[in-house]
Amino acid sequence: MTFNSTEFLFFFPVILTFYALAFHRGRWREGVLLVASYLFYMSWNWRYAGLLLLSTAVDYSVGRLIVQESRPIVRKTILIVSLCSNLGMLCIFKYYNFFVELVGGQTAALGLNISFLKHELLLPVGISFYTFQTMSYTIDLYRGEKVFEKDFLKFAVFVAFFPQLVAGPIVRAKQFLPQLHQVPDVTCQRVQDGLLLVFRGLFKKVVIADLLGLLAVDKAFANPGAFSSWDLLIALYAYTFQIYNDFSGYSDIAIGLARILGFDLPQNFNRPYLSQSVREFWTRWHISLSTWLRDYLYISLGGNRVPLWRVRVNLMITMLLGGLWHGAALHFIAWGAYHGFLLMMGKGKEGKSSKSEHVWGASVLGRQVVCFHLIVFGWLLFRVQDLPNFVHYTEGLIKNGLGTQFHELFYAVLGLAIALHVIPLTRWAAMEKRFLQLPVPAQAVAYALLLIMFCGFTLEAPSFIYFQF
Amino acid sequence: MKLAYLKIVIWISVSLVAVELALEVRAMSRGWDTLFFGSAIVGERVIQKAGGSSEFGPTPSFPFRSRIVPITKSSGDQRYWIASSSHAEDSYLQPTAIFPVVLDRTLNEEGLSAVVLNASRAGNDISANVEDLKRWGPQWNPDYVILYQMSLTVGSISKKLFSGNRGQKASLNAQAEKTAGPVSWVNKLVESTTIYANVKGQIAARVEASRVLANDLGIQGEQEYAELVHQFIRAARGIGAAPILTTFATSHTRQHLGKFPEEIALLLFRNGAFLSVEGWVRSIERFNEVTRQIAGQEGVMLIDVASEVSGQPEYFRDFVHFTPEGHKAVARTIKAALMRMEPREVSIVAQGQRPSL
Repeated sequence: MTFNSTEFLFFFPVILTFYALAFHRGRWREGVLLVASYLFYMSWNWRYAGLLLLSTAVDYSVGRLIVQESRPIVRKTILIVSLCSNLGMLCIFKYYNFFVELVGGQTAALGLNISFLKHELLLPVGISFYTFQTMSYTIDLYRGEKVFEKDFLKFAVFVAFFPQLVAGPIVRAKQFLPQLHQVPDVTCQRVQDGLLLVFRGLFKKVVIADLLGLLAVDKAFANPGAFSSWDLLIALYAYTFQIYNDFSGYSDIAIGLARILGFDLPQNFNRPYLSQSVREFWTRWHISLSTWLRDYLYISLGGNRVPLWRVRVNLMITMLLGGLWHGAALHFIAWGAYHGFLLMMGKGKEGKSSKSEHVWGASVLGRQVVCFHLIVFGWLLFRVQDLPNFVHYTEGLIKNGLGTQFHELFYAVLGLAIALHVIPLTRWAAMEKRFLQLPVPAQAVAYALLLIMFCGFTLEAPSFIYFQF
Repeated sequence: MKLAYLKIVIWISVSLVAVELALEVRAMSRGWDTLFFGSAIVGERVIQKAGGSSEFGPTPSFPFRSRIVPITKSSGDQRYWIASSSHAEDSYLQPTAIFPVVLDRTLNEEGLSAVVLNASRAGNDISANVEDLKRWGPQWNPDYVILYQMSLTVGSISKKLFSGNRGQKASLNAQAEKTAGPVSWVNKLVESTTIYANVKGQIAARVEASRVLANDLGIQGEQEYAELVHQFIRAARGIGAAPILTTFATSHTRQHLGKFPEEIALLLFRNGAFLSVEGWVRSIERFNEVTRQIAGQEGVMLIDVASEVSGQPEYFRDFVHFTPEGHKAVARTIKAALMRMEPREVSIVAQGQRPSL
C-alpha cells in the first residue's frame, strides 16, 4: 500500500475516524497510531513487521541502559552494541549480497575458487529510514541530549509513525517525541492545510514524476541505443525532475498526513535545483538525510575542526557512505564519490562567491545553471542500472544525433515541472491561500476531481523511487 | 479533535459518490452493469447474466459456453474444441450469437453429428488455453482442437519484451509482485466503478498512447509466439486430438493505418501500451504468417479466418471482438473449411499430416 494506491484512499479515512474517536484518550490515540502504522507497514510484507518491532525494542532497551549508566566506557559499549545491531540488520538485508558479489568477483579474478552463499531475502521497505531514525535516538542519548523516552508505546509510535515510516523525512527524537507528550494540534485549518499538502504531493508524484518516467525516462534508460542524443539529453533532464517530484511529492504527502493527525514533520526539500553551489544543494535536497549525515557522521569524523585536507577527506567519506545508503551498487557509490569530489572542490571557496551573489544577478543565474548541470550529470550516475549502462548512455549522448520520439504530452509535462520549480514561493503561497479561502464544499469538489484525474494518469500506481532505499 | 474537522473528507466522499452516480445513470442508459444499480435493465448482457437459456453452459458440470452435452461421447459424434478467449466467449452477446454456437448449429444443420465445446474464457492467452486443454480435454475427449487466439498473446509478449528492463522501478515492482497477495477487495471495488471505467478509457488510454511505442515485436516476439503455438499443438496431440490453427482477424489492417479510428486505438491502449497501432497491425500480420508456417511444418490444418473476415469493420465492435454478423462470418469460414475435409482426412489430421484444403 503506497500513498498513491487505491487501498490508501480507503485506509486513511478509516484510520482518521478511529483516531478522531480515540483522540481525547491519550493511550488509545497512541494505540490507534501504532496499529495503523504497523498495518500500513505489514501491507508491504507482514513478515518484516517483526524486524521493525525488534529494532524498536533493541533501541528502546539501549536507550534505557544508556540513561541509567554513568560510566563512559560502558555507555560507549552499549552504544556500539546498538550501532552494530542496527547497521548489522541493514548490512544483512541491503549490502550482504552486494559485497559477496564484489568479493566473489575479486577472488575469481585472482584465480581462487571460493563460493559465497547469497540470501534471497527481500529488502524490507524503509529499513534505511527507520534504522537511521533509531540510530539517531541512541546517539543523541549517548551525547547527553534530553530525548529519553521511557514510555515504550510512545517510542514505538516514534519509530513506526506511518506517514514517514518508509521514505522519511528522517525525524529526530527531539523533533517528534515532545509532540507525543502533548495533545496533537488538530484544527479545521490544519486539516485543510494538510490536505492541500497531500494533494500537492500527489500531483507531483502522479502527474509529473510518473508521467515523465512513463513517457520517456524509463525507455531511454532501458535502451539508450534506440534514442537520439537529443532525446537522451532531454530524458536526463526529465529524470532530474522526475526524482525530485517523486521524492519531494512523497515528503509533501507525509508532512501533510502528519499535519492532519496533528504532528509537524520537518521540511525535506527546498527547491534544490535553484542552488548556486553543490554545498547549497545539499542544504535543500533530502534535508533530513543530509543533516543526519552531517550531525552523526561528518561531525563525528571531525567536521570542520580539522585541517582543510582532513575536512575534504571527511566530506568524501560522508558522501561515499551517503551514496552507499541509497543502494548496494557501484553506481550509487560513484554518485556519492562524484558529489564528494564536487564538495571537496568547493570547500574553502564558499566565502568568495557570496559577495557577488547580491550584486550581480547574472552571476547568480550563471551559478545556478552551472550547479544545476553538475547535479544533472550526477543523476545520470544515479539512474543507470550499472556502470556499463552509464557508458552506453554517455556514448549515446554524444553520438546518436538529433530527432525526437517523445510525444508532445511529455514535453508539456517537463515544461510544467520546470515552471513549478521556478515559480516564486510567494506566488505559490498566495494561490494556496486563495484556495483555502474557498468554501469547504468547493475545495472538496476540486479534490474529488483531482483524485479522478490522478486515477486516470496512473492506473498502475508505480511505487515511489525512494522506497527501494 | 472533533469529527467536524473532517468534514472536508466527507465532502470529498460525497462529491465522488455524486460523480459516480451521474456516470452510472449514463452507463445504465447504454445497457451496462454498474456498481450501485447492478445489471442494466436494457441490453443484451442482462439476458446472458440472467442465465439465458438452460440449453447453454457454463454450468458447474459443463465448463463451456456452448450447447450443453453429456460428458460421454455418443458414437459418431465429432467433437470440436474451440480454444480462444473473449473473442469466442463474448459474454456481451447471447450464447446463440457467438461463433462456436453458430458453428455447432450450422454443422448439425448440414447433417453432421457435431458438438462444439466452447472452451474460451475472457483473459485466456495461449498458455491458459493449453492449461484448460490439459485440465478438461481428457474428460471431454475432443476430436479437433481449434485455436483462435492472438491479441492477448501479442499483449503479453510485448509486455514481457518491453517492460522487462525498467531499472529502479522494475526492481521495486518485482519486489512488490513477489510480496503482493491476491488483488485486494479495494482494488476490485474501485475497478468496478464507472468512474474507473471512464477514466481508463478516456485518460489512461490517451496517456498510454503518448508513450514511446514499438512498431513491431521483432524476431524475438515471433519466436515466443511460435513456441506457444507449438505448445498448443503438443497439448492437443497429447490428448489424442487433431490441432487446427486459424489466422486471427482484426477490424482494420495495414491499408487502414492512415485513417485508423481513434476510438479503436484508445481501446487498444486502455490496458497498457507497448506497441503503436502500426505495431499491433504489423505484429498480427507477422504472427499470422508464423501460424501459416507452423501449420505447414507440423502438418496441421489451417483455417484462414483473417483472409475472410479481416478489414471489414462492420464485423467488429472494436479491433478484435465481433458483432453478431462477425460471429456468423467466422462460423461460416470455419464451417466451410471443416466441410471441405474429407472423412478420411480426419484420421490423417489426427496423425499429424496436413490435409489439402
